[in-house]
Amino acid sequence: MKAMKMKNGGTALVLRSCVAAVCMLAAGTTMWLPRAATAQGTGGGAVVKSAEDVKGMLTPALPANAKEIAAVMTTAKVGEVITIRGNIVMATDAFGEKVATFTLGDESARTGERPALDKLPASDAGIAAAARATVQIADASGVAMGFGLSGQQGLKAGAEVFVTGKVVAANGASALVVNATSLHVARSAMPMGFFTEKPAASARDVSEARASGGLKAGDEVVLRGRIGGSKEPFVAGRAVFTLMGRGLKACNEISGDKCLKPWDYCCDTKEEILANSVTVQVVDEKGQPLRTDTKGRRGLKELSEVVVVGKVLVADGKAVVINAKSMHVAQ
Amino acid sequence: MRRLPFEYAVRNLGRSPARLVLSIGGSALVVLLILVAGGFVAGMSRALRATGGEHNVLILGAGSEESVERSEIEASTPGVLAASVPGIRTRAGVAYVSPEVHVMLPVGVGVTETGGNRRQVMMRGVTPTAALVHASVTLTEGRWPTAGSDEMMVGRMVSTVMGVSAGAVAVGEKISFDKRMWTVVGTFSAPGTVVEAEVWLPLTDLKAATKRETDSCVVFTLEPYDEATGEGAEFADIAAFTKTRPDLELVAMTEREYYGKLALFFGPIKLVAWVTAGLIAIGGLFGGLNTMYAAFASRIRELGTLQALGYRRAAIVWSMIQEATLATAAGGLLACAVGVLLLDGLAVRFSMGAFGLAIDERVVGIGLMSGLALGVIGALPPAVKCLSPTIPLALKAV
Repeated sequence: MKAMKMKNGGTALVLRSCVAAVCMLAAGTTMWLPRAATAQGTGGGAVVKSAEDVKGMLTPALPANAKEIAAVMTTAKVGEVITIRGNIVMATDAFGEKVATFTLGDESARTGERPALDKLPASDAGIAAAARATVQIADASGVAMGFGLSGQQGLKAGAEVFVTGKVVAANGASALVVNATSLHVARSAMPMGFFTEKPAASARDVSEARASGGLKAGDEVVLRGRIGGSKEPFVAGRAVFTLMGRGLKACNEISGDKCLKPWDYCCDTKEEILANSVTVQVVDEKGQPLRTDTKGRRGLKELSEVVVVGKVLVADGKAVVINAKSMHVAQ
Repeated sequence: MRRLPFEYAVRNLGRSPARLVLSIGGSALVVLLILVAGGFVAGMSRALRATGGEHNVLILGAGSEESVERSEIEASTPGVLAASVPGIRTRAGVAYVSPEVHVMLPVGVGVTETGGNRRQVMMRGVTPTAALVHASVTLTEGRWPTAGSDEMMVGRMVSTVMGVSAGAVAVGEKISFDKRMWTVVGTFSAPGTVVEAEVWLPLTDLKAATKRETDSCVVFTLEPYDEATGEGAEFADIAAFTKTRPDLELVAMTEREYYGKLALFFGPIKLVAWVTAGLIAIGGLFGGLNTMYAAFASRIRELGTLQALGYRRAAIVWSMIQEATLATAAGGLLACAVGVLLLDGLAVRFSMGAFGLAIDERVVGIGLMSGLALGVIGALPPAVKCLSPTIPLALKAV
């Protein structure tokens, strides 16, 4: 009996050793896990304890389908996670003092002149409360953290910011408070009113305009087309993309084609693609493309149909480059 | 729990010197193999990763993103780029723009113009600006080749690629290529990169030899963008340039991205290296198990006696693990010493040229851990087996 016990004891010993080893391994693994759960701030997975830590909340890519503040004001519900786009209001009270909050405004709802950066008023009266949102970085209990955000990570008056976060206050009319979990600060803000709600009249298809040979440098044009022409028609980090005319079919319009990136027009030759496309860019005052993405704005993606109003910069018979002034996303 | 003294495990090792040598030798061989596999993977990854310059951008022909050798761009492209893109680094008025031709061609050493044993070597046609953009390249002997003189310079690992001694491609030696003999006028190094396995010659000479008018690519170095001054450029500026010049049919990639994609291409080969090492390690483990079974089986009575004296099974298992691990750890250390002293940097040929085995601290760590694991895993099953008989049965064991 004793021998049996000892034999069983040996097996148990091995089993116990195995269990102990697994437990130790598990404990060891846990020690190496990131401690995001212990974060004081609400910065998504980032631990936010100071203004410098806000860097961890920044996303390099522009979030797709961000909504304008005025549009979301009436629909936002407390507890809902939303992504909004806006510009930090042009006022000295845009940022909380020693508190992690800032006010985002919908520039399309502005009335009157936009204040100059070097002459900021105490408050930005040009944007009504119905087109403003208060963004805060809060601690675990939902209270805004005790540091200021002015000047941190590109956050300044006028900066274009995309905020993803949870709605903590909304009255459906004039109050919207969002606890941010991630931020995207555009390095260059898109011009005010660049995106229009309605397409400009008398738009011509890109293929038609190119075939007629009517595009000359300096001409004001209104062109309709779809974003495509290569595997990556958008330039990441710059407001540049290529627009294709209806003269060519996208791969998904060709029966039986199973192309994974139908916007690359891989069934057509490079010459055909070149003859049916224009390059569109949004430039700054120096003529350089803006340092921001266009993909994701207003749901813009590959094969989106857009109407662009702009001026022909280059038309040398091969390449055509348009400096866009405004754009409407048709679908 | 009362433990057996450590000396017991140590002294047991000396009971059969032949078995000890076998254990150490076997584990050393297994660990050495793991080191070779690890060094191969680390060396290849490091070479491809290090080849790309931090601020270098590669302009290729559209559609040739996966192979610079297939790429063709107009010879006028470097000039257009230098004139159109602000933010390219310059020194004394010279822009860091290097038009290049990359082509894999057969070359021979010590043979006639056409005959003899030839090997495929990566040839790079360059201009003197290549020295600016490829900062890792250092001329170690001789001089830069002169255009129109049938001269070339060779990387430190070209001899490995060609399967000849280093002296055969030293300065002053002749290399046959394009049905004529070329003189080696310089040697260069580019530590840790695949460039070391290349032959460089003047761009115009290589284009004439290969009867091509186009370049393969343009490599240029950007001045890092300064937010405060607005000076310099970023990769996105180059991508935007290629998008606004679709007629040139260009595509821009950072040099690191290009070589990073090549590293992904070689991923399956690295996996095969690890799987092979793993399979042989498992074979070695079974061999070790066999040895340990034999070693412990002859000591069942002794183990029974230890239990009768009051030592618990756990204490005896612990001592057996110590004993086995000491032997395999010694083998592991021996293998690591051999690896670091003899294998580190050893040149290995592959399709893109050659690279050195990298027995770095991570690989050594994996080797040492493997040696320890061999000891622990190799000792447990024989130990459990030998301790399973009851004490009376163990004491009667022959």
